[in-house]
Amino acid sequence: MSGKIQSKMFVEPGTILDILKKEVDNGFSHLVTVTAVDLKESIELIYHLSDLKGNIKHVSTRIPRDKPEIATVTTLTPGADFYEREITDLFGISFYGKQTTTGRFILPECYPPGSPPPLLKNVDSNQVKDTLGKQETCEFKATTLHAPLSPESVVVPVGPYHPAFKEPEYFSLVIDGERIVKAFLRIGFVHRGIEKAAETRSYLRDIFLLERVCGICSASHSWCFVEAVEKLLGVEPPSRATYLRTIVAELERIHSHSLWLGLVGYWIGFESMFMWVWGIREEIMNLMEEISGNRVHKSFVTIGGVRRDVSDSLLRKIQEITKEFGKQFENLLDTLVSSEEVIERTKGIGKYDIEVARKFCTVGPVRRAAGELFDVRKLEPYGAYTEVDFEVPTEEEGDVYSLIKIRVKEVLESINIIHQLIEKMPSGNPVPSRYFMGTVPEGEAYGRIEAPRGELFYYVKANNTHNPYRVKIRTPTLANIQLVANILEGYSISDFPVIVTSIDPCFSCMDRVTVINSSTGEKTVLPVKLLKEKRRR
Amino acid sequence: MTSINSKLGFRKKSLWVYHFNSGGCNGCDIEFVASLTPRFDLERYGVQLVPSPRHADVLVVTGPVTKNSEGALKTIYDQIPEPKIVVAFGTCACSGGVFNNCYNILGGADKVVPVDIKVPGCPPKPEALVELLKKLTLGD
Amino acid sequence: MNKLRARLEIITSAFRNILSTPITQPLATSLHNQQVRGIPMLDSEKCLGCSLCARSCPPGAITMVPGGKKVIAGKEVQRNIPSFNYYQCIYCGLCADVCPGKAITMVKKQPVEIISLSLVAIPITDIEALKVLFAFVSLLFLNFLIYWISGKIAPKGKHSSKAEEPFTGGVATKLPVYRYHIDELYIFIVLFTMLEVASFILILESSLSSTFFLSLLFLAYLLILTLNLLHRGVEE
Repeated sequence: MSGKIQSKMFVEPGTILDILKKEVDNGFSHLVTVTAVDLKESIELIYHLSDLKGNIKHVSTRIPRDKPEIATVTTLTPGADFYEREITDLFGISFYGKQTTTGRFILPECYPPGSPPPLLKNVDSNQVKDTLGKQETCEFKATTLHAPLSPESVVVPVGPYHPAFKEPEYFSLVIDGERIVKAFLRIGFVHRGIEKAAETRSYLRDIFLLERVCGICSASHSWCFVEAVEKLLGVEPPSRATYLRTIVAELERIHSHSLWLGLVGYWIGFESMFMWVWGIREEIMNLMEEISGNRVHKSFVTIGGVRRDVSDSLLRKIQEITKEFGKQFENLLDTLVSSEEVIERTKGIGKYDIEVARKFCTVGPVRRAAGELFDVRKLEPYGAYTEVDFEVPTEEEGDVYSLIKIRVKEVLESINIIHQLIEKMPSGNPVPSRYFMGTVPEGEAYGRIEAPRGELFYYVKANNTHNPYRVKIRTPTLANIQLVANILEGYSISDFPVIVTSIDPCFSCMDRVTVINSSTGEKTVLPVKLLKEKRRR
Repeated sequence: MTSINSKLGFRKKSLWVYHFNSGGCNGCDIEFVASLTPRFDLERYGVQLVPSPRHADVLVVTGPVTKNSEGALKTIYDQIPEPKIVVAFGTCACSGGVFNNCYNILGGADKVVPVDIKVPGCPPKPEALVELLKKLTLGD
Repeated sequence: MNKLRARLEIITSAFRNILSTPITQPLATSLHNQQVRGIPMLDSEKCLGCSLCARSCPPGAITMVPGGKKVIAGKEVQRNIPSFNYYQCIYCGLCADVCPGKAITMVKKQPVEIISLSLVAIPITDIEALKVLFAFVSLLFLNFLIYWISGKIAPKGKHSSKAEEPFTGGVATKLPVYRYHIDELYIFIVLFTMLEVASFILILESSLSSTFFLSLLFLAYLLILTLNLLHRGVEE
């Protein structure tokens, strides 16, 4: 659900920790994100808190421009660490009271420490580009960043660029024999500067930019942005458009979960599972191409409705194909997931309990696998979810096997939702008469929907011009990945790919692993295929 | 097309591909990997995805080149042994795409490595890869 | 029990899959289906020159270039028409939707068809063929080297009856070449050499004449094998 931000609670910067503690005790225990907005004289920090019944609260404080520092809230919610570090990098605000201090978080390493933070309003994009262009190279010093090499510790840097899949990411693992003792994490290799670019384009062009934040859940990003903008404009899309948007979002959930299942099969060494699941997933991609013209970046949602109508014959075809897909999927997963090899490699691996999940503010199936029902479709319903009857599966264990079970059940529930929606589809014209190319009156709004990976949050601030003043995106993976660094401790290094893939990161990437024996100083390089071989035995 | 044929020689019968994601949205990556799955099955033509640039003939670059990945892309390009061809897969690798005025983006892949073949599309369908391969191996 | 049931299910589904049609599609039949969004193409007759497409294009792939004169609303004006950069276009269809004169249509083809692949000219050298020739010759040389060394270190074939005679040892009865003859190794090396020759010829030049030559080579190999067998048969 989304809404116009009618009222924010204004507090003084010094008292932020006490106010937040009071709110957490009142029940608003989930910190959605921390947004920073550059108003010319000061920088405003907004803390968005949500409780487990669907209410959301915004606590806002202003920091003077010349003295940008504020107390950290990581003593209260450790999950706020990544949000604060992102703000430090992009806005230049320092948070005192933190235990760990490190260098750059999301900007490249070579951006000089004294340069102006990119997202401030007086800093021009070209200026940042020039500064980056002048740097020699952005080579990444792998080993010594987080865990310095010493005679007592063996550090395994799992470096940024991976041979086969997806996006780059960097882990630095301190290991003892085969056990991982501590894991450090560095993200930001795919940082493209989208939030800054979104401020220079009009709202209509921004939809196309923002749906390309992620290639797998692109309909969710565009829908979330459009929800926020529609709330600012006060426009209500026709109900047929809401139904169509929901159908496309559920199709995307099916495709994303099948993709993930194939990848998990690949990383535990079961390549047949990968091939089978991706083979039947193509039916869903065909459907999406018929509905919107493109398999991946559908750009189906626009301000005021959807871009194309879906005919009745196509709706019947969707029903038949999803029913067939459901049957095949169920048969397939019955065979595969109950086989002993899969169970042995995933049960008990990467276990965490609900307290840890709450501490790091995780969202999506990762939180549901530990036992808590946290799904925005049920808490703050949006779209057409109020009209349908579905259940949200939860599990108790919190390991990789329960994540597999949850995602399989979610796929079947999605098929159920699609069938119900097609039966109840209202008539009407879902396409707006003309595209929106005007100005948006002043205000702030947020959008919050359940993407396949978890809760996606958008904050849009408008100031009566053609371009938005500030767009803030908080993706579900940023919330979940703090959990990974925590639960990796204690597991063996060959479980590492499975545990990282199990949270379904939108950047999961592991390079060759370099094992450095610090006493003899010799290095051996193992390709990832060898790590997979170890799992097979 | 004939010049690429002679450059690769007999290797075009079974190309080994190394895939590099230089900071994209993953759409082109998923379409590329999907072309190896049973529906399109590039592997029946002998194409194999290899984990090491030293084993590869073809470098497929997806995504716009960010400042972080510039050094890594150049290193990997140097590590691939001759003869090699570079394919820029997707609009973002051809020219920067939608992100071409973002501050962390340098542009398309041709800012860093010499590109032989450009395949535009956002993302290009897996059948485009099959079609491309058909043109490469069977001639124009 | 669960294990048994799972195994049974895997076996039945494997059989079912073997007997059913494969999921794989024939080559490039679905590249141009009717559902793709397609490529924007301009009909310059209908274009008004308003440049709304260039302003709405998300990646900024449209630039307005001078396009001649046209009569608009009774007056003849110099107008600009859009030119598309197909390498920057994201094929979203926004330009076709916003154009007031309906001058841009989305043609249902895939981008890889309509743009000729841009190539960088590479100078062709003969170094390729030389390298191949060198590899072939060295492999041949290696074969003979193995053959000769194996002859040196292995037992020297069958003893003739003269081996029983004192002070003469075993003397080869036939050609001196047979001193180095070990049956199994001989066959292996001849086969290997034949295969090398055949494959290099096919690589360098695949045509009808070379296939003919290859089949001749295999016949020659079979001939040698038969001779060898006959020779052994004769000896025994």
